[in-house]
Amino acid sequence: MKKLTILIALFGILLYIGCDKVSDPEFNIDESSCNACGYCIQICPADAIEFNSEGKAVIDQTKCTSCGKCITICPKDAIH
Amino acid sequence: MRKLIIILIIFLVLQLSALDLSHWTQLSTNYFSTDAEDVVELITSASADADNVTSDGKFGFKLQHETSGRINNDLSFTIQDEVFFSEKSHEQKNSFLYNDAKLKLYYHKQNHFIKIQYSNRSYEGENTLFLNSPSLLESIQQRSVHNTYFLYKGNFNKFDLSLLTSLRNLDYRYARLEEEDDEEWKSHRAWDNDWMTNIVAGYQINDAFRFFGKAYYKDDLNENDDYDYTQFGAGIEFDNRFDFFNSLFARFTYLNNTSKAIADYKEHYFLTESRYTKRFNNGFTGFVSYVNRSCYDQKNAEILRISNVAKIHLKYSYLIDNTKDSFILAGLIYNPETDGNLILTELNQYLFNNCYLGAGAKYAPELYSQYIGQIEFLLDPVKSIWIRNEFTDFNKKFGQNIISFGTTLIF
Repeated sequence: MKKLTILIALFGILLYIGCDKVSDPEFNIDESSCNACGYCIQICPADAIEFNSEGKAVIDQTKCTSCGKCITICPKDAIH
Repeated sequence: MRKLIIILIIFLVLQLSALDLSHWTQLSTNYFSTDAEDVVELITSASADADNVTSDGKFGFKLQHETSGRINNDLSFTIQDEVFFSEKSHEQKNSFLYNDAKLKLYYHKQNHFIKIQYSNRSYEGENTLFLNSPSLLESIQQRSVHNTYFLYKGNFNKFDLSLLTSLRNLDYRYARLEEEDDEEWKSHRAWDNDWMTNIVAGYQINDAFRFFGKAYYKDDLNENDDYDYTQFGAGIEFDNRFDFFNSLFARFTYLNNTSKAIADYKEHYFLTESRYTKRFNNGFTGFVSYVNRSCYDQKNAEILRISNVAKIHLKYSYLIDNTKDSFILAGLIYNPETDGNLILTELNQYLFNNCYLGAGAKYAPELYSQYIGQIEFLLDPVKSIWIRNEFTDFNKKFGQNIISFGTTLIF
């Protein structure tokens, strides 16, 4: 377990240090944190968020304009 | 489709008397105020109906209800409804009045699970604020969103299969300047349809490791295919609870994206997720999680960072009774790519006679700071009344305050 944890941490650190950031930010929803309140759906100005079959909110990346309004509204801090 | 829904509703109503029903209801009323000079621009990006949106205080209410029941050993259902109303524009909504209804039917037998769901969100037409969806040419006002799902999940020894198909219909209106008609703005009604299918197949290698493959397809059923989306992926996951105190989840997924609406350099997409949960003997529990999203830019032969999210949560429960526990929680989120760094803390404290004090604070340096206070009185373990105040300062640009009074009932 320790080896796997260290491996993942090293992988992340290497990616962070060695790679450039993309020019356009992308937002995603952490399903394990989402409580399905729907606030993000109600505030999204691009109609880009919808519940999936598990009742969790999902961002449609083809419609999202990366305005970031959903981040501040999420009570569970699940949008990054 | 409508006939099927009506038949389904009639069938359920006829069965109601014989069903083992449970209900959950929450009703709240709130008073919203802000010092923003132009709430419309800052909060909702809407441009219409500015006269109807002021920084004055405004009342609203929200009613949520859920009924669940069992038809027989294999069939069960859930009906959910949420009604929201606000006097004027609200900080969290695109509409002054809306209704969100969901009807879910479940079938579960041995290793097979089926879920059929219909959901509908209806918006009050005239005062709904304008949205700008990139897949639509005009600024639109939502009227209604219909969504139907069919989900199948099955387990066959070490193999598992999940199939989801969904049809989404957005009913909206837009205004267009009619040059032939003395350049008058005229309202038009239109529909936007999306159909998507997602298939995931997995193989359990041993107790902890699982290999999986997935395929996703979204068809924007409108005239052009600019917003169609195809995704193939494969990955491996590790999920193991070592003992009562330690568990670890880790997953690596490779995704291949094809869509005109997604940048070419995101075609080869890598998602790495991990979460380690630890429980201590002395009332402390916590987790550390890390999610990395990266892509390989084939054109320039380089790996690019999309986002890194590291989370740490630590919770200390110091008094546990039959209803709610008293705890203090602290958390940290590190998310440099999307300015989502956040520090948070939360407290729930038993006061006296089934009365609890809740408090919370969040500070996101690039975005906002938020302070919450709540007092909740439990009439019994499943009935409560509460009063809550929530103040948010949006990066010193403007502040907003919401006072809520509500009740939660389970019966």
